[in-house]
Parts: sequence; structure tokens; C-alpha cells
Amino acid sequence: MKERNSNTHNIIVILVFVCFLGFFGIAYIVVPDREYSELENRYLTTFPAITGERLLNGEFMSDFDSYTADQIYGKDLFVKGNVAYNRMLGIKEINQVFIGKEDYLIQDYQEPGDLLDENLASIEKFAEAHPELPIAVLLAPNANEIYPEMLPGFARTYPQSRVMVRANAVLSADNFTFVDATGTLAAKKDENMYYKTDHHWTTDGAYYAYQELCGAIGLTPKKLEEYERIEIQTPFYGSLYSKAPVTGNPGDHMTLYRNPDRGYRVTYVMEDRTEDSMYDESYLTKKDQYAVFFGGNYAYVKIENEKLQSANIADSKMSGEKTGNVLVIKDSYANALIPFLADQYADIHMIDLRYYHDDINKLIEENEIGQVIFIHNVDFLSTDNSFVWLN
Amino acid sequence: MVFSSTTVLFVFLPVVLAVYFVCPKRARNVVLLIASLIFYMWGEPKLVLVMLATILVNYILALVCAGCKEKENPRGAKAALIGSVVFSIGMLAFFKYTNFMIDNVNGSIGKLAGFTIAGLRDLTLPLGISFYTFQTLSYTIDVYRGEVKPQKNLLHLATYVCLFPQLIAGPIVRYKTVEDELSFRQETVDDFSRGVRRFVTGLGKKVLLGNMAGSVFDLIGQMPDSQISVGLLWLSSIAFTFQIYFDFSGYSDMAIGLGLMFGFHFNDNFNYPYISDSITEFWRRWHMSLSGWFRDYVYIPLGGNRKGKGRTILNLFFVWLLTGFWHGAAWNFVLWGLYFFVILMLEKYVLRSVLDKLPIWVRRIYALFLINLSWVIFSYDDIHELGSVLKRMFGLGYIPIWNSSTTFYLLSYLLLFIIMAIASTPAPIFLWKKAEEKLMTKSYGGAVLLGAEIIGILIVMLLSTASLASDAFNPFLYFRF
Repeated sequence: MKERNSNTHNIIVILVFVCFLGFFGIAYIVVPDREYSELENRYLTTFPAITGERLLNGEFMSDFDSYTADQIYGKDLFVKGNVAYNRMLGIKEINQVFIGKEDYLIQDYQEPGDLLDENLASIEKFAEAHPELPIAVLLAPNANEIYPEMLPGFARTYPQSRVMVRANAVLSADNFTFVDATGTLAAKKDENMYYKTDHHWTTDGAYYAYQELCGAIGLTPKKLEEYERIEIQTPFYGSLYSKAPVTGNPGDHMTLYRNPDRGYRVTYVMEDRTEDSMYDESYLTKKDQYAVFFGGNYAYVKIENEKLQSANIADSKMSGEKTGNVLVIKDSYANALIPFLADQYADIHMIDLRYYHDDINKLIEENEIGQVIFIHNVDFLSTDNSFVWLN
Repeated sequence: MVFSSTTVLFVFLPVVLAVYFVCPKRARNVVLLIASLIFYMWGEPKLVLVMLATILVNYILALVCAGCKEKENPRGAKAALIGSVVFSIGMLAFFKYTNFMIDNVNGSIGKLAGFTIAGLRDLTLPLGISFYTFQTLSYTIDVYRGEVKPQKNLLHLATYVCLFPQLIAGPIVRYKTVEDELSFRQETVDDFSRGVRRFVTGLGKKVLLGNMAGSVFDLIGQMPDSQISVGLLWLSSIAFTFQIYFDFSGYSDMAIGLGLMFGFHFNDNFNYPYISDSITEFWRRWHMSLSGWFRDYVYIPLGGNRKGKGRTILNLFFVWLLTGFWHGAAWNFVLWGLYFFVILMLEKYVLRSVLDKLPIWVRRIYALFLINLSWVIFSYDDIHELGSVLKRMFGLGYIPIWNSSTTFYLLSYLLLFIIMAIASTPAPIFLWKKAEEKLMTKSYGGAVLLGAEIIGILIVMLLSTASLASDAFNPFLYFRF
């Protein structure tokens, strides 16, 4: 029998190990830093600033640890590799995302905590403070509610119908109209109401919810045929894919609907910027295609429909349109729906409470708001703590 | 810093290894000391002073102690030792247990008498203090006992205490283990390559198994009541049982492996604890450097088993109370220590004869059940939460025995659990050795083995890096120790 571990054998083992460490070590220096990860849809930590204070309080060190994790050579492959390792073990939930059937990635949703009740109470309080204003609340379920059969076997999420019941019970002021989009979306589920790789509803999903909303507040919705249908060819890999980048997923395809005789003025109030379209098409070639709507979430966006602004009131009443001003308080689900609603109201004031922290009463007064619409999805309503800014 | 981080793997280690081996032998302890201080200060930039003070005081007292012994002044030597013990334990007690004491005083006497002590409430625990305190104590006590010579070179002593491989999570390396290697050691290709194998094994155990098991424990811990079940709670406890073993022993493996790379030979810390057939055996296989420390520096000095049954039991009670308390300043750790005391006493005086008659697999299930339960006590430092979890685990809570989520998570993690169960036994090493023997009789055997080893190392390193780069769950469990 030969010597078990010859010297050469050992030297090769050492070299493999040391070269592995050295290779990635040198790559930090040689390979330029990336600022943004398209795959993960987030900004990466770049080389941290060194100051005496940051050294003493440890901030430099913790930033440096993020830096070495974020800027490692081949990071995207490593992230995908980690998901692949998890899947190989048979794990079907990664970062709270279920790896479902038919390429569906579905966000987990479990029993909401006290925050849901607090948020509902905030909305109720807001309504009570504005008894003269009609207030509609459009609550959208999430994909787990509409496509439970696409969850991996035995996976269960909390029934969002219970959240709807709770919301309907808490929102009891006389000026409320509560709109639960679940029925409509469930009825149309064959038409892909949600993206398979993103946590949002599709443009079609948003349209059907818009239809439901119009019916509930006495508007006549535009027909889908009145719009020009644009199918985006570049596949869309959304936020759920960013959390669980599974290999072999074909991605989604986004659809946009454009009003052929459009004429909008879109003002980003805080940014002091005006556009003539609600679509920022530069995002269609980027990773987060959903940001095509308004370029993402902004604190306060004003959408003016020039046609409706010049129309006389009698005409618009007949066509079911309103020239009044509406305040929409919303999360990102609304971004896909507002382009339809923009053909209904002359002025839409759209605010996102995560970023809009000014006096809402003043906004209502100054803009002669005649209607308020909340557009939220159940997950957001259950987990976001920005509703305190309402009051 | 923790070993399982991109910073250590790809910045700290390559730089330290390069500098260490480029430097001449006499400069290598300085390199290690500086590297260790950076390693420590990375997570604890200010409280490094506590560690340095401990080193300095014990350095001086050990010299005084040895000096007194030489001049045949036993009282002086004893005084120096007492000084060292009081100082070291005092620092540990102050930083680790003050908050706990104040909380308990506030909660009991304070509540009755209507006062609260606020003063020192926000004391932070210096990283690794429980480990380095025990190491310095082993040094001064052994000097007093005449088992080792006092270290005249402060640099060598500081290198020993700060040595980064074992600094923050053990094993508790005794001074006498590395006494000779501190002043002279031969780094060899053989040791370095064994160190690489040991380190990579440890990294895989910690990142690819321990962290994954930990994420299951965490996931179930965060579930709302509407999702939880008795089955899930047991699943979570088993996950923690695996997590603490693979995390802790993986960390020890990495420490021992790094030590080997620099020419140090530390003792093993774990010896397949989960194949034990009794709790007595478990504690001969689990965290051996700690149980050995308590045996040699607490139990035996108290008289061990030489002073009659009653005194033996009292001594053991004391040892297990301290063992529990050493793991953290909270009541659940005390409870955890006493839990083992009770079981060990029962095994020693009552159960032994019964257990011996049972088949081995029944004894193993018996031991695993009790071990698993001990980790439940260990994992909840809020005693009320612990109570409620235990109640629910034994069907006394208003939750279902089993639900769909239980099946889902069981199926999701079944393969991982099976892998971890196999990896907890000597079977993988045994099979590897067998294959090695077989292959070595063939002419191509060496090449195949080398290929297998390289592929193994690369797979573990790549998957571990993937997990670390993904910001996946990567806890440090020993900040309380």
C-alpha cells in the first residue's frame, strides 16, 4: 500500500483552498464595484468610508461586511446557486416566497397581526374626520388568495377573505364604499390576474378591479376594447424572482393598454417634473418592468386629463365620466389601475403614504377634492406602517 | 468577525496567511497577535481593553505566583492565585451577570420595596469573555499547581489568549496544550492540509447545515398561532438540536483547522455527541473542552467523588449550576444546567442498571429525546415563552397536533434532516476511510482520492460562498457565552 496522503497530494489540496480564497480576494480589487443589482432589484453596498468615529462605533466594519458580501465576484451566480441548493434539498419556500406550480412564485401570507387593525382604524378615523367626502376603499387580494392551487403541495396561506370581512366591519362610517376585488379577479382567473414572478397584479387584473370600482361608485367604466393593447416582448422577471431567482423560469409578459386619443399631464409634484404620459417606457428594458407605470412609486403625482378638463359637464355626465377631482391614496397596486381611472376624472391627486408626509387635509381643501379612493393590496394593508400619516 | 463571512474568507484570511508565512518565524507571533486583535476589534472595537487588562493582570500575577513558589512562600503564591481568580471571575461576573442581577433584584425585592436600580442596566457583554476568562484561569491555576512554567514573554501570553481561531467561540484551549507551540512550532504541509480539510468541513457544517437548520427554527418561531401545530413545534426543536450541533461543532472544526494551518494543535471539542446512549455519555462527547475545564478546575478541587456520596452530589450540583450559568445570564440556562444535573444523578444512581438492560437503539432514543428537550430549554431565554412552548409541545396548548403546514415544512426539510442525521454519526468518515483503503490498493487510487477531495472542497466552498453572498440566515449563537 502506498502512502495515504503524499506530500504532493497535500500541497495540491492547500493550493486549491488558498487559490480559492485568493481569487475572490483579488477580484474585490480588480473587478469594479457594482452600484445596483438588477437581479436582486436593490442597491449594493460599495466600499465604505473610513473615519475614526465609524471605526470606533463599528459602522465601518458592518458596512465592510456588507461590501464583501455584495461585491463578491460572480454574486448573481452565487445568489442563483444558493436558491438552487435550497431547491435541490426540496425546500419550496425561499425568503417567504413559495416556489409554486406552473412557474408561479407566490408570496407567503400568514395571519396578520395588530398592524392590520391599526391601519384599518386609521382609515376609519380619516373617514370620520371627513364626513362630507365619499370615500371608496378598493382592497385587492394577493395571488395566494386567487391561485391557491398553484401553491406547492400542502402549503397553506391565511385566507384573505377573513381580512376582507374584518376590513368591511371596521370601515363602518356612512361615507364609505368598500370594494372587495376578490370576486371579480377569481371569476377571471383564467386570464392571468397576477404575474408569476412579481407580487403585483397584471394590467388585466388591475382593469377588472377598476371595472368593479367604477360600478361601486357610480361610474361607467371604459371598455377594454377602447384601448390599444400593447404586448411587451421582453420577459419580465419581477420582485418575487428577485427574492427567489429560480433557474428555468420563463418570466412574465407584460401588457399595456393605451388610450388612442390620450392627452394627459402627469406632474411629479415633489420632484417638480411634468410628463405627458403615465408610462415610463425606459423601464421596459430594465429588470423591474412594473415601474413602467409612473416610473415607480412617488410621494405625490397629479394626473390631469386635458380632454376631460375642457369637456362640458353635461357631456361627461352622459358618458359616465366625472370632471371632479379625486384623491387616490395608494400602494403600488394602484399604479397599474390609475391609467384607466385617468379617463374617468379630470384631476387625480395620487399620494403614497410611504413618502407623502404632508398635511392631507390641506391637500383636500386646496384642490377641491370631491372623492377619495384608497387602493391597497391586503399584504400591504397588513404589514405597512405608514397609515399613521393619514391623520 | 466570524469565520463564516465573506470578509474573513476572502479578505482577512488570505492577507493573514500571506503575511504570516512571508514573515520570519520570530515575527509570526506578532503577526498572529495583530491579526487576532483586528479580528476581535472588528466586532468589539472598545471592549478589547477588557481583554487586554485581563491578560496584563494575569501575566503579572502568574509571575508573582511562580516567584513566591520558588521562594517557598505558599501563602504568597496562593494570594496571587486568589487575586487572579477574583479578578478574572470578577470581570466576567461584572460584565456578564450585572444586568441579570439587577433585573432580578428589581423584579423581586425592588418590586416589594418599590425601588429600581437603573445604573448599569445597559452594560454590553465583551465578545468571547466567557471563553478567554476560562483560558486565562487555566493558565494561572496551572502555574499555581506547578503544571506549567509562567510565561515570561507577555507577547506569547497575549498571543495565546487572543489567538483568533479560538477567541470568540472556543474550543477552550488550555495554556498547557499550546505552551510549547507558543515559543516554538513547526508549520508543516501535512498540518496545513489537514487544517484545510478540517476548516472546509467546519464551514460546510456551519453554513450548509447549521444555518439551514437554524432558518427552520426561526421560521417556525415566527409563525402566527393560526399556523402552528404540535408537530411544527417538535420539528422546530429538532431543527434547533441540529443547528446547535452543526453550528457549534462546525465552528470548533474551523478553529481547529485554522490552528493547524498556523502550526497549533488544539484538542477536539466534539465527538459525535448525538450517538450517545445516555446523558452521561453525551457530556463526554459534547463541548469537551468546557466539561473538561469544569472537571479539572471546579469538580476535582472541590473534592470530586473522594469525599463521600453526599459531597459528590453537592459538588456535581455546583458544577452543573455553574455550567448552566456559564452559557448565559438567564434563568433558562440555570434550569438547563440543573436539568442535566438531575438526569445525570438519576443515571448514576438509579437508571444505570435499567438502561444497561435495554437494547442500544432504545437507549439512543432515550438519550436523544432528553437532549432534544434540553435544547428546548436552552433556546428560549424568556422563561414564560419557554413554559408556553413546552406546554404546547406536550399537547397542553390549544393548537392542532398536525396541520397542512406541518406536512409542507416536514416534506420541505426532510432531505436536509436526513443528511444532518447521517452527518451527526461517524458513518461518513467511516465510509470515506473504507473507500480510501480500497482505492489505495489500486494504481490510480491516489489520483481518484485527490480528485474527490478537490471536488469536495470546491463544492463546499462554492455553496458556502453562495449562501454567504446571498445574505442568507447566518447567526452567531455564542454572543451570550
